[in-house]
Amino acid sequence: MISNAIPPAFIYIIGALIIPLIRVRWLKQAVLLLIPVLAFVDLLSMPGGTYWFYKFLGYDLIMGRVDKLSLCFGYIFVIISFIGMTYALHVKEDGQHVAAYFYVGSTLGVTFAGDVFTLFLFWEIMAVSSVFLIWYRGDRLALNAGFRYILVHIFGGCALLAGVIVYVSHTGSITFDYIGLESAGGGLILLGFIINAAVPPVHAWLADAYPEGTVTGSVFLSAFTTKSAVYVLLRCYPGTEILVWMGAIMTVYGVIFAILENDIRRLLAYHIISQVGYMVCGVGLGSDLALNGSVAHAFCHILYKALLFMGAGAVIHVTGLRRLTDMRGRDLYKQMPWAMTMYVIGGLSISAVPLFNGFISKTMIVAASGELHRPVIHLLIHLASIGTFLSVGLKLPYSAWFGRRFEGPREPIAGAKEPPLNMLIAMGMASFACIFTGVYPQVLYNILPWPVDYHPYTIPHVINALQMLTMTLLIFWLLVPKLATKETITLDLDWFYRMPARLLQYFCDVHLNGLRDYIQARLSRATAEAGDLSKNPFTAASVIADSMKLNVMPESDGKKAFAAQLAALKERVYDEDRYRTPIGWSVLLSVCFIFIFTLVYFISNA
Amino acid sequence: MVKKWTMILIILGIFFAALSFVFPTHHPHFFWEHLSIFDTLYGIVGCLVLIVVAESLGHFWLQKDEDYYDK
Repeated sequence: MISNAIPPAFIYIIGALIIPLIRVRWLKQAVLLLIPVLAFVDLLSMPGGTYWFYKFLGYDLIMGRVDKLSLCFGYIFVIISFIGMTYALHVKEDGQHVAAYFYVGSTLGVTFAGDVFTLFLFWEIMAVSSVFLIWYRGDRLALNAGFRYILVHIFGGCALLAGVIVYVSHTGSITFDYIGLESAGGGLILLGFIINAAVPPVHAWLADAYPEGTVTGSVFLSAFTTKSAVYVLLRCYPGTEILVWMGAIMTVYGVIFAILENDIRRLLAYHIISQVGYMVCGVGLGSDLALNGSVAHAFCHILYKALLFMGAGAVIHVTGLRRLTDMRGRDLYKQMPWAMTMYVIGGLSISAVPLFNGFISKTMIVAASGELHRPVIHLLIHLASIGTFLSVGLKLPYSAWFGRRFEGPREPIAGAKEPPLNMLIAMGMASFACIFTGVYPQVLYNILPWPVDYHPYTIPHVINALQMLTMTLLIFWLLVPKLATKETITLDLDWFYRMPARLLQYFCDVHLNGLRDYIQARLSRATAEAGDLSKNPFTAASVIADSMKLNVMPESDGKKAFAAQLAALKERVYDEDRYRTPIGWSVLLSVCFIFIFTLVYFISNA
Repeated sequence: MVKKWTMILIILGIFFAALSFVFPTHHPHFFWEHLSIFDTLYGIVGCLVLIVVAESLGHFWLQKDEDYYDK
């Protein structure tokens, strides 16, 4: 290997460490934007193959396994980090930038890892660094959600580590490649992966935590964790049947919850679950077209989902409002037309409207399910497409920006305006990328790992998509008043750890603490009594014996007298003159000791 | 206003449904793909099913007050 490239993970991690040292604001911003540019140049100069070996515990670990699959994910991660950082450029807290770049760097570490140990190492850095993007929001909700987030991810990390240990000790191989469910430890590793991919029933952390992140942090969160999980699934579990069903159910699950959701970023978070469902399903289907579809959809999804989170973040940034019930009917579109327009571009992309990038990638997975003759899967993921357009493409923008037919406070929001310029530029870049890849899909198809023979823009494809979209729009338009959200939250499976946790807390507080109090009181009393006894060792034995006798004596005058006698005995203090023994005892003991010692000495030397 | 948009959408829907007869799906994999206007029907039925399922799940079971976890 002859290359001047260094692992792209290090560019971000070293860059993150330099950022707090720069005191000049414009220079810091320049460096923040330079890091992704350097990383991109680095990616372009990385030749294919396996390199960057290092030794650890007698194993050869690999930091660089570069092929079309890892490069494709590498490109989009670097691109979105540049867009996300442009969006976050106005943020003054260095810590947020440091956390974001540690997060991006570790994701790239996962992407180019060539063995399971390196994978695990970066997997954990990813979890720990990303939680700060939630905590930096700084309120109680964010703090609690962050703790739940990190606990779930530590659990996932432990499952992965356990699986890796079982796998390595059974097979003796540490290569991070096809593992499959049937190999030893395969189930545990899969559990670790699907927790990060937010596959139900282990998905609740995502909808719980992402809406609580900082405005800029959630943009990063939406891009990396779930998509790196899709990447590792593509590596280790292509063609696993259970993933087909998990993925298809996931697409509809997210959509149904999103219909009920009132918090704008939680609605979008449920659509991450739904969209990642397509990718997981594609991984499970396992044909070249399906796997290519998963990669392409991950690529496009990162772009439009970041754009959607940026749009929602812009509303939160300028108005401070996060619930649709607070926004509807307030004609926000008049105050922030640019942000609204670019959000809608994201909405059309995720809804797979022709000429936007969702159309060129999602339809690959749908077509693959057709080619493999999976009718139920085909219908389920079609159904999810309808729900996606309904919630993200129609309900959210209608309620947030227009909402004429909703009842709500009519007065406009004071001080609402376009977000800062850097936010708009970032949204503009993402919008451009969404449309560009939608219009020229070949740009994306050329970097896909397997050969592509798929043409999204055939006339029947487009007409079928338009039929479905028009009907969804019609139903939405007729049912708009019914679809108005209420000021509620929707319970999800996180109930199963949030409520029992409260019971556990109650149990610890009342019962376990009560037990502790009881034991403590008993021990204190025993200590006090032992202390009393130790005042006079000569009377201790008779005090104990007499106390026992007193306890079993029948009630009588004699008992009272005996009790008084015992009390007097207890009062008797140790008086050294009273118990002094003659010196002869000491001499006798010394003679005995010397005799025994001498005897032993002679016997052992005899 | 509401009626005008409803009419426009219905006309558009009929237009695309009619087009689908002119350009049928090339390689149908399932029996319903022989039916040109399947996507129109599925759009209506699927959308209604999703809304009904979601709203009833929410109404009867899952939707709670916002301070549910703080109580």
